[in-house]
Amino acid sequence: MLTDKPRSKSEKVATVDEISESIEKLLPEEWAQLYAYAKNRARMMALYGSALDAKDLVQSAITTLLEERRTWNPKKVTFLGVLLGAMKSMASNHKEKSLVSGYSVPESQLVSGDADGQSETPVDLHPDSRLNPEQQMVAAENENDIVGLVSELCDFVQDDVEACLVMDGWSEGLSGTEIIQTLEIDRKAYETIAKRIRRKSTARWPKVSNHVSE
Amino acid sequence: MSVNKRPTREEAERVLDHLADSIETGNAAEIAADLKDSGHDLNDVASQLKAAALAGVKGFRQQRLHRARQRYQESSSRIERRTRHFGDSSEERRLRFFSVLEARPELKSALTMQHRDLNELTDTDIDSALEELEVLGALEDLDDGHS
Repeated sequence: MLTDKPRSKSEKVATVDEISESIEKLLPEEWAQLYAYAKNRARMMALYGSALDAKDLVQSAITTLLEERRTWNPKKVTFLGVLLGAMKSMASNHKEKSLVSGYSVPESQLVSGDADGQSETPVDLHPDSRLNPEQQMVAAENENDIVGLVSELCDFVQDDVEACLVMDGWSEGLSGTEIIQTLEIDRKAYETIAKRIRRKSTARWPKVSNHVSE
Repeated sequence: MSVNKRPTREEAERVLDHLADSIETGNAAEIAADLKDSGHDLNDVASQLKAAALAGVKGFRQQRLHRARQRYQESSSRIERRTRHFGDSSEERRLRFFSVLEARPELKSALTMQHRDLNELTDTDIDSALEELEVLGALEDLDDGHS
């Protein structure tokens, strides 16, 4: 079921052996779900200057668990669930740090272009001293690539009216519940449409070569 | 977000967030089937991610080992320093401590001692007091004065 609420916090600190054992026990389809989620979050982070890929995120999620920066109650949350939660937090923290550090600025504060019609990227406006010029260029390219991927997805679903409407709602910042109410559909129908969009993105995006998707 | 209009970064982020929700709450088998249909090798995906996860565990273990080694080295050098500066045996260190206080009685007040009766000080108290005196530079002053 799709929810608008974040998962509840787990309570227990896992041992190294418990984590190792849980890694070994993950099923192939769970690795696939973890991969899809990690790739999605890596793309989101690329919008804010990150060059991490799915594997980096999974490794970092494990590290945050082991370093006791995130707790886990196996009775309440599955191992997969706690990893997804860790990656969700990492992406959110990255965005926050990026905005605070000045690497990224909120869209509303970006100027659309100068007198010569040359757009200034966030990198031009707020160069990140932690990145060298080459890294800044790669980060800016990544951000541009990801926006392009979402744009392509929108084009890719244009024959599916319902999917277009739901994507419009998503991009406008509506929650799932608000979209359900606006489109006068039930939650099951909404979830089915969301699944169609997800499938289209899976089918479409791997074909595009960029620094973070593969 | 209309067709042919390039989304803004925030719009792209919102779409990705909703897709993430759909992946998070979706059926793992269905997601795996979608990936397979789109040309992903699921065995390869699993083995690559598993390797990354295990690398995280290995990195943590090595880091822990490194910290333990560091702590051991710090503790070894502390013991070595203590032996070199304060004396080999607890008796020698006790004598050293009292000789410092005898030479510099004003230091008594600088030491935060729980025991008023100095004869009640344990070996550990003496060691930590000597360390405090060393930090204060009192031992060096005394050594310089003797040399």
